[in-house]
Amino acid sequence: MPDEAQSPATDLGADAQLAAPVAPGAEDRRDHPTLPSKPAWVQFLATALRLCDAHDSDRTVGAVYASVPDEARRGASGGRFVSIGWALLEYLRDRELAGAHDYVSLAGFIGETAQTNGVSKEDVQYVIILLSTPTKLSFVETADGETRRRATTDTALIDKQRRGYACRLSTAGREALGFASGYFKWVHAGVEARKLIVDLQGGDFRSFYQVAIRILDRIRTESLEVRRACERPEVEDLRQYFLDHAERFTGTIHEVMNVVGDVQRLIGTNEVLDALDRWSETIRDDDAISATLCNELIQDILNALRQLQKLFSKFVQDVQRRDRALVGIVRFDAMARRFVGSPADWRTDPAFLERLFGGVGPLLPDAPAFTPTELRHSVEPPRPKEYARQGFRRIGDPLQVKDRIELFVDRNRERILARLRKGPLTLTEMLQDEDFLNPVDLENLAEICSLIISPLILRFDDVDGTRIRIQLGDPHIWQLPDGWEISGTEFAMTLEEASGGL
Amino acid sequence: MDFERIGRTQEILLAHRVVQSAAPPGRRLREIDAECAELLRSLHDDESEALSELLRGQGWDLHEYDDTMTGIPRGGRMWMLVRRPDAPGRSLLSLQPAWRRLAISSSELRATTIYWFAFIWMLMLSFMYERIGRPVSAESEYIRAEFGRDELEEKIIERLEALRLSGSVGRETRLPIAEALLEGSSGETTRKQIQRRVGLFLEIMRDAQMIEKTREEDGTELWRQTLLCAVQVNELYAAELIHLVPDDETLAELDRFLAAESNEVEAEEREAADGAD
Repeated sequence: MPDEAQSPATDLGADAQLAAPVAPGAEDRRDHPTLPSKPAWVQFLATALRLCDAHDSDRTVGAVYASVPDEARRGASGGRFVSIGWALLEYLRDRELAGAHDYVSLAGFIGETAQTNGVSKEDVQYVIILLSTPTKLSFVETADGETRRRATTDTALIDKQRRGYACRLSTAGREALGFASGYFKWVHAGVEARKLIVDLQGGDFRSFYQVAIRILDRIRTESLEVRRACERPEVEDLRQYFLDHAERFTGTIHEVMNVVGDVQRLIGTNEVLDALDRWSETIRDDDAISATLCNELIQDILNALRQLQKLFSKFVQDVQRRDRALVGIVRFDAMARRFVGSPADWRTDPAFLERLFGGVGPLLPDAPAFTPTELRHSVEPPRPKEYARQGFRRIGDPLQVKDRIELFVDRNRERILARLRKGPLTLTEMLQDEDFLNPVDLENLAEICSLIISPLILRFDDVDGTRIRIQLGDPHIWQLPDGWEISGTEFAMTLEEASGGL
Repeated sequence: MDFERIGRTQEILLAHRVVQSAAPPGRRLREIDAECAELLRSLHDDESEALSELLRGQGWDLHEYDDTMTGIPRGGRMWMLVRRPDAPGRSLLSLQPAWRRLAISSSELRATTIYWFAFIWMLMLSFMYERIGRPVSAESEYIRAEFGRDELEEKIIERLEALRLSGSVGRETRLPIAEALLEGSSGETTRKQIQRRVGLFLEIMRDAQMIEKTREEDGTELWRQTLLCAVQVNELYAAELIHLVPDDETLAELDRFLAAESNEVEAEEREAADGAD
């Protein structure tokens, strides 16, 4: 009977040879400090591979052991697909650390990876679909002397949108990255954070950077989990877990905050800064870590911790709101079907529906008159760098509203001034006289309204001893030549002696 | 307290409803966003409080989100005005522009326009929630709530076709909504009219910051819910949307509520009894 310990080594690309059962003569090379170390993910997979063999074993329960089961891996892709898979996870993790927890378009990744690895784009897309498809993992749990068969399908490493190739990390994917980079539970975060102090004191800045990233990643993951517990009250286990460990959880937040505060102080000391300079001189520029980067990382960790703390307080408060826990999946499709089949009753009353959509519906500005803010889509003044009080003249400053207003004024200035010389010119005349300023659409309306509230746009100020004054009239409703109806306040422009001032 | 600054902030918030301090990757931050974010950050505590109270009086709650919310870039913040359940009827923002824009003819009755809106809106929500098994409380999952314009159109056509074939319209009982949706302006609603209506609906919802276009793929537009829409649906579900839930589901929900209540009472009684022991 063959020895079970000597089952054939399986192939997982070149690096995996080191992780598989050791070939004769190879023992002395393992963990040798001068040899390049294996990537963390290879180590992670290597440790899990034999367990996967056990999961997929051909051996039937109770069989008389007679031969080595065929567990040889074909490795047909030469280790490329698995490398692409891990690169994808790291890519998504990096995007997550750099920005939003959102779906990321993988169009760029697919192209670049295909080129780098010498495979087709379809090959990369295959890996994406593989990682986003869950598979079943069966296992047996033993408790109180009883065994229970269980299974999970939470095995998709990434979430993919229904169409196209936009993805984000799933919890399983994030956990896999966490395991590969040194997994730690949240309750151990305080201990983990102390490694930052040890690394700083020992001058191991590379490790400092990696630990800091790991902590940041862990805090953000924890935040996501807490938010999920808030939003998904039906995930009772998760909710209960946080409730049971609330005190310990917040205790860990405080502990990490204290340690990170110490780290922040330590980074500012001359000893650490000198050590960092000395260390940076010995390595390539690309790999260097600056004091600013360290500070930023620590600041990011502190901010993330504060946010986590806030979120957790919200969760604890939310638990008190019993009614929220009862809203499950709403059958909107059935709602729509029932809606169209409703007989004439209060539900079909348009006034009732209008009230109902008064909150959740598409509310849009419906102001009776134009205000400068509403003109922003068509006439947008540049944003001042620092907020300054808005003056009356700012609205009509020709430098800020250069293009459209100036064109409008250039086209119509003489005609407007000619009308003004004859007598007062009202907004009604400007809007309703089709032949005068041709207010055919919203764009022209915007110009007219800008002009009436700020006639200085006409560049007519103290000319021949006269200037333009504006007067407010009564509320009014205008029928525009092209059928639109608008309402607002009447304005009138008049030409008066300049001596009166503005 | 600088009332001018508070007023300016309030005005921008009312005009835009959503303001963010950092743009998502690949997008440019609007200048108005940068200005308002700067204003909001510069407000003192008493000014922020005054602004919130001012808005509350007009029926709005000012919500603030940081980068622990999905879709907000690292270090970014987002503020939004959320309509309160007890909001007064009138507001500077109203539904009237939406009804005007959604009508496909000038003679269309307002009731017809509203029925169309409600119908398309419910089917859109079925993609955003029901299809992906998402409860209305899962606000942060709004980024998963994606749908294609073509599938929305197809679903509407399918539902209307089923309604037409059921023969329920034209019987003794009047079904005003079904009649309005099936009849259309020319006697019978055509596929083209539905497509046009969906196009208008999507534009209106986009302008009201309720959905955003993510991309175009294989000739169809893909749309996604915004955080504002997710928050608004969640906040107003119990106060407003529950009225549209079919009665049997409302009753089931009431049962769950009562069961939870009685469990809680029992638990409290047990605790009290344990304490007495």
